Amino acid sequence: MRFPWQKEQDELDAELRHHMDELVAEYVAQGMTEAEARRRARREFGASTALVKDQCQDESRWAWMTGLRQDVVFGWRMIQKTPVVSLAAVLSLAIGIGSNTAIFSLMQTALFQTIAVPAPEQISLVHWQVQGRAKTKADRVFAGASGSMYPIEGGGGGMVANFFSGFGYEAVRDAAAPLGKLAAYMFPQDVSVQYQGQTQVVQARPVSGDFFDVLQLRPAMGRLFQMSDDSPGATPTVVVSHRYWRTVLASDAKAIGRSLRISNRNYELIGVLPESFGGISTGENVQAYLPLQQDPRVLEIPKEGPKFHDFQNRMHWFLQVIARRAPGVSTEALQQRLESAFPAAWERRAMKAEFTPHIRLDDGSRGLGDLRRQFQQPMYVLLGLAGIMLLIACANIANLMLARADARKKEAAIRLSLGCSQARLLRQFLTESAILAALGGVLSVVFALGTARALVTLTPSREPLVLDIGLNWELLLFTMGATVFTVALFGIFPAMRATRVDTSPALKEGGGSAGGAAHSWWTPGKLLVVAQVAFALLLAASAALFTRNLQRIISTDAGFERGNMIVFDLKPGQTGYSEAALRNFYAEVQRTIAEAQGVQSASLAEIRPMNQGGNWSSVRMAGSKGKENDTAVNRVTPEYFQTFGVTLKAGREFRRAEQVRNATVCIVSEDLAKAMGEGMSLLGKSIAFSDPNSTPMEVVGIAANLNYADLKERPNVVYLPFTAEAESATVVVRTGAAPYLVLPFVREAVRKVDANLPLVDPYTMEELVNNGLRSERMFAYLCGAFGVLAVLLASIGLYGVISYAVSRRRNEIGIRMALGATKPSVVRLVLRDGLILTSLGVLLGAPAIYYGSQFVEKTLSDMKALDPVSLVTAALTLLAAAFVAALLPSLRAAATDPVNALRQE
Amino acid sequence: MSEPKSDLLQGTLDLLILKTLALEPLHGYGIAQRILAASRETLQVQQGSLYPALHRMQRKGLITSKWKESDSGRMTKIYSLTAAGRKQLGAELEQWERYSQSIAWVLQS
Repeated sequence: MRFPWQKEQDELDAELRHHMDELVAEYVAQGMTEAEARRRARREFGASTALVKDQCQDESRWAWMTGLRQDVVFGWRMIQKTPVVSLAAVLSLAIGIGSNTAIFSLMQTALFQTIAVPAPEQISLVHWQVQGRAKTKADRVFAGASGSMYPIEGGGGGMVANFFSGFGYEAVRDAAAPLGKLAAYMFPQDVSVQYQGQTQVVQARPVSGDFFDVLQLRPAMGRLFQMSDDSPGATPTVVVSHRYWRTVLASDAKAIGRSLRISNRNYELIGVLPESFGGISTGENVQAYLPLQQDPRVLEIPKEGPKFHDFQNRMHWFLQVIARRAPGVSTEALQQRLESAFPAAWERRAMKAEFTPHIRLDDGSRGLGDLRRQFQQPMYVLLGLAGIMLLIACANIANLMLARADARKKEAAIRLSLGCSQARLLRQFLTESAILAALGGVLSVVFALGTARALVTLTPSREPLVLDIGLNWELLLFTMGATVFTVALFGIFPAMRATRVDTSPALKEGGGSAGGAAHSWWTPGKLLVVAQVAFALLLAASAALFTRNLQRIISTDAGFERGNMIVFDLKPGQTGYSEAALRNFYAEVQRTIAEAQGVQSASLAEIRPMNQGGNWSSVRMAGSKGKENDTAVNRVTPEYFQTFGVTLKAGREFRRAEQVRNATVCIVSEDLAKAMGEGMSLLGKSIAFSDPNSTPMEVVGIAANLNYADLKERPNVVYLPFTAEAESATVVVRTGAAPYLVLPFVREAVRKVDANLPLVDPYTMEELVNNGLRSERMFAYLCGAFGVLAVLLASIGLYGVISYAVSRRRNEIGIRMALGATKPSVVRLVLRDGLILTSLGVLLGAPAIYYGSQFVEKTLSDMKALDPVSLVTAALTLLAAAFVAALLPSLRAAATDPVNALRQE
Repeated sequence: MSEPKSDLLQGTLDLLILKTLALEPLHGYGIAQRILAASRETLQVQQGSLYPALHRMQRKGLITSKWKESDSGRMTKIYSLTAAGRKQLGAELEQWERYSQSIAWVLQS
């Protein structure tokens, strides 16, 4: 392929050759011999051919291109002259830009990406808000809720919630037309799905019949829901994600129309969603969609008490609502329309105006906001830290370019005095920076993609996120922006400095050694190093802070030994067990697991321990109106405490006969007993849940305190006997060997009882605990990496600046040594410079950290940000690194041979 | 090269090229020959001036070029005047006349 400017050159050649030939022809016509004519023509023409070409190229449209090529070639040659330094520059840039790009790409996917539906900007999330948080039930217009409730942004004590009753949903839905269309959905839940003999656990989201209509999705295959699918008497139907169809159903087109057995009921598979649609919430892993009325939670008839998911109950709020505004309709218009219809659906008015819900619409173009709310601020903090990292890298390269510019002062002066324009020279220097930056930028993309994928596994969410991180235009644009920014930052100043040369002294001066001109101690390079040290201190301090924070949490005593434990769920109730069969099953499975090789003890529980969630209630002394104590609740089998390796402080374990639904006995944690004002004397007394209908329970045991949901808190716990009729159970196993060695035997044991029942979410206890620490871990890892790199980069910067200063002071040092300075005194002289610079940086950085820490404290909860130990650790690390970085050049300075140094002048 | 040949006044080359091309499209050598002949062998345009000037004028859009087969069967680059070039020629002619008139007045005074 020929480039346009190459083609132009070819044409010019042809044109000049033609001219020459015509000239020869003319001389021949005048009577010369061919050879003579050619000689004559060449004499007239030849010497100037190259010049003509050059001049023509200067006139060409592509002149800048040829110039650029020259600049690039020349720049590349200059870079090659110092391969190690250049490589270090490129790598530090790649890491600097790359870490920004990585975090940006994660933000982009998790925070900014719109959901894959047509015209996502029309989508709104229907929420309601109250001014104050109701303290008692009487203040609320609902009795039970399933959904999320969180404080209004910007504080003020108000709350936003996303749950509606069946009536509430219908009221706003019917009022919406023609301004918009509304659809309802519920939180997804794990269900067992059997297909052709295979059982799997997948997340299923119940949605209203018009849900996919409102989203305007078209099926990839089959059909999506209609209103008729979403009625109590309809044939149960299911729609699956494209991923599910591709993986579990093996892309089998004939699967449409077949039956999936979900939670023990048959559902006809009617359609597959488009491949692009990943759900209405970023990162979610929903594989199946069921009609609301066919959701197992809705169909299930509870064995006791009223059903919660009851569309006829105005006090049970469990539906979430999503809206699509008609084109051109503002959110305000739709909001007012919905607001006017909302109160009619309540069973009663709120007692106070401040507890009255008002409809609010939030932007839904990017899907549900849970992940965003959780993610946003930590991401910005991390992006800020990565930005500082990039600044440090930039400072290093600026320093490198400054040193280079100084070294090339003479070259610049010669070129300027020969008539080279300053702009041309500036361009040359900038091209060199741009080459470095471009190389760094390209490498950074590779670095960023790798890092971002690794970051996804560290993201702070309970379940692993399904995020597709890949190259896209915005990402490349971001990287290019960052690259251009770095060129501007590290390239322009040194280039200006190099080209603004007063030509005569520069030419007179020797080859870079200190001549007659006076040099001030402060050079721009030294200022840069001070700034670098200040920033590096910030990153190193945050690294120490977040690492210590993680360590502190990890080393928390949870009340039990965490090693050698396996936790998993069994959901026999969803695969067709009757109540009697369940009772047998649990007894049998617990026995076979306990007998399996490597297992020391096995027990069952209703709530998975250390899983960042659970069941919360409050208790008081039975029959009294006394103080209520908040407590977590779990139902456990008698072996539970033995499995956890703790003993009861008083009383006894549960008995098998006590495993019934309406427990009359309970075991309380030691802390709860104390909190109820009793301590060990609570044994034998009766307590009751705050609910007026609850039956009193005798306290038969007092257990040692155990953490319940995570490592951060240790709440009070009330243990009730495990109900043998429960649909599902968490199995907790204590092993005698490494858990992963024992897990196969446990699997085998379960298979012996039921070959078709999968182990759901098997984890070691350590993994479970770690899952709860994703956020802390992400910060610790990232900041740790940032901190190490920052200290390293700052040391390199310091090393460069001190080395350079030493080379400029060779004469002075030579004179000092000739006059009797000892080697140690020279080492001290140079070292002092390095340590002064570092100390200045530390002094400047410390206040910045103070303010930074207050910001971090505000954005990241449960974190004590200002930690003197971290700060001192960081400062000492930096000083140590600076000492090493300055020692090398100072030793070199001390090795100066005074005779040589002076002779060189 | 025995006969005296005067150097071109700076800036007049463009005018001569425009004028020459106004008569008919020509290749570079032809332009030089035509100027030489029209000046009664007194103005020899150096290649070193001619081609950069041609390229500059082409970039300014005063002339365009085309590759054509010559009588001898070789591909040659033929330059011709554009509308903008024709306008420029008019303007430069007028300017030249005013200039030479001024010079003449001074010299005759």
